Amino acid sequence: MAYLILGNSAAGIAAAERIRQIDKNNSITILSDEPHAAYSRCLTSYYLGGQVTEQDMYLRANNFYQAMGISFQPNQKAAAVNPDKKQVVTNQDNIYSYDKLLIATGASANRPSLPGIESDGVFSLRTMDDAKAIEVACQSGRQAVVLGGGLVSLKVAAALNQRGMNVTVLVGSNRVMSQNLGDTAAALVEEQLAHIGITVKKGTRPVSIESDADGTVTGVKLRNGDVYQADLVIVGKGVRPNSSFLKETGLVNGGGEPLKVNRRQETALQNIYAAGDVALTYNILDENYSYSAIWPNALEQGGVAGTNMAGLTREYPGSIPMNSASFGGVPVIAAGITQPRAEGYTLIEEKDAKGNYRMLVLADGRLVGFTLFGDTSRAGLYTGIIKSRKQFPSDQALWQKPRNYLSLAGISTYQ
Amino acid sequence: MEQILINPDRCLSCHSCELACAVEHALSKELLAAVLGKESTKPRIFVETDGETNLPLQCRHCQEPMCVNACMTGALAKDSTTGKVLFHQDKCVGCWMCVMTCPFGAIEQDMSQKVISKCDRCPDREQPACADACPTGAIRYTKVADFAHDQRKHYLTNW
Repeated sequence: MAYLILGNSAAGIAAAERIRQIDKNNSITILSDEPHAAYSRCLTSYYLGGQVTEQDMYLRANNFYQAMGISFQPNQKAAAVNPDKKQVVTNQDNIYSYDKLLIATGASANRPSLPGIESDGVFSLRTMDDAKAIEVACQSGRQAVVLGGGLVSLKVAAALNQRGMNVTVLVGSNRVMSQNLGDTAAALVEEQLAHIGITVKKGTRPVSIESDADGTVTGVKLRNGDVYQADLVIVGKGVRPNSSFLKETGLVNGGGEPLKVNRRQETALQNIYAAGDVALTYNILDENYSYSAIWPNALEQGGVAGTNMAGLTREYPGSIPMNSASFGGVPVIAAGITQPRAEGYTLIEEKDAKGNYRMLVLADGRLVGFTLFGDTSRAGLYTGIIKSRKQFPSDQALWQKPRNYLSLAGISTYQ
Repeated sequence: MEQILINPDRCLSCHSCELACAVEHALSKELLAAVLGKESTKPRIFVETDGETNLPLQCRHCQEPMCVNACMTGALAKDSTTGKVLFHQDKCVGCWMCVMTCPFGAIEQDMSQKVISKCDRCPDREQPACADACPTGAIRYTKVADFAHDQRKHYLTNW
């Protein structure tokens, strides 16, 4: 029996650890397209902001692979999978055989097809090497333009701001974090961004990236003709699954599609599993699969995949969309359905005198989503009752419950 | 493997556990010194009450901890030998992902230091300070193997 894991981040590591817990003897091989030992991608913006060192980013001890009996193969990017031969070929023409294969190749930053996007000084932040390259390129007092107003874009904007750059964020929609936050919460985050000195321009449509004769970026041009001067441009336009190498297996039609899995994280092909940002995630609320590339999902799915690969049976319990961020030291947490578009949802919100904001989305006495800004204490109590689908007498009754365990989860669930 | 067992029927909401916990986690580990030295120390156990039930609540050191899955830095980790959910403060960046996912709401945010705090089961003591301090036996620290499975279930769920 040989286990082969493509990908060395959250899902891959979680799977390897779970396999080793169950199966002490058989070989585990991890291939990575990067040169580094497993590190936390989520910390790249913290590294850029100077809050953590490179050493802090590594997830496991230096002797991790050796201690776990894992063969770690860096710089081996999977190029093709042959399910009949049970083999994976890498870009370096190495061939790895497997009995059980996990595809945990993650996702890459989207690069929109803007003229000039290949100019020097245009970056995305996804990997440790991206973070290091941006670190070299950023200079205090110079202009940075960030394309996109999502969570990662704003984290990069805050990091560049920390490094003394003058940062402008160009957002296409009418607010920041439009995937996660409604108008009120987004406006509160925008206030914090303004407070720390980040400029946000909304409803903008970049049409090209301008550069000088040497090919070095000089600015970003909008459809209305405005040009924002830039010494550094960050493209933060979401991610796409790293799945194009699977085209010949039939698991995907083209590149950039997420892999379909079942609750055991099995793909349509025998002995091939998928987990993390490359795969779809089972969502408890719509009882269906959707793309939800977040760290906790990757770890949990990796663990489930590993358990099944090692011969035990385990089902992924499902997840809900959720995210946590802080800007200017003020935290915001949003989970579940935060922008109900269909009928049948009640949205209740309040802002207290201290500036704390609480918003709940309810349906028939059940919590389906929430946003907390400022006072995010015990937010997991809300996440917990969204997941458990706990029923309250009415939406209003749930809204008025204090944020404690006895009121929300209830003593009968305590064990 | 030892467990903190909670019996809400016995809890009088006297908050002795909170005080003992705060003192144990003060640098001096002494009440008077902690107060006089104006050390900032906070309990990691909280007694909730709704008028009917009193519940001392702290990190449950879950078998499958949501917080560990959510922790993007490796600051939270499950110790497979002791069953404890360990917290390494030097790795915490205050992202609050664990706060977002803990279904017990048992993880506190230290907003000034931008790190979390939670029950560490008092690594410097034979048994946790809260269990030592509880005058009614509502909080007990017991080897789980000492309980027959059914008894344990009774203790944990039947009130």
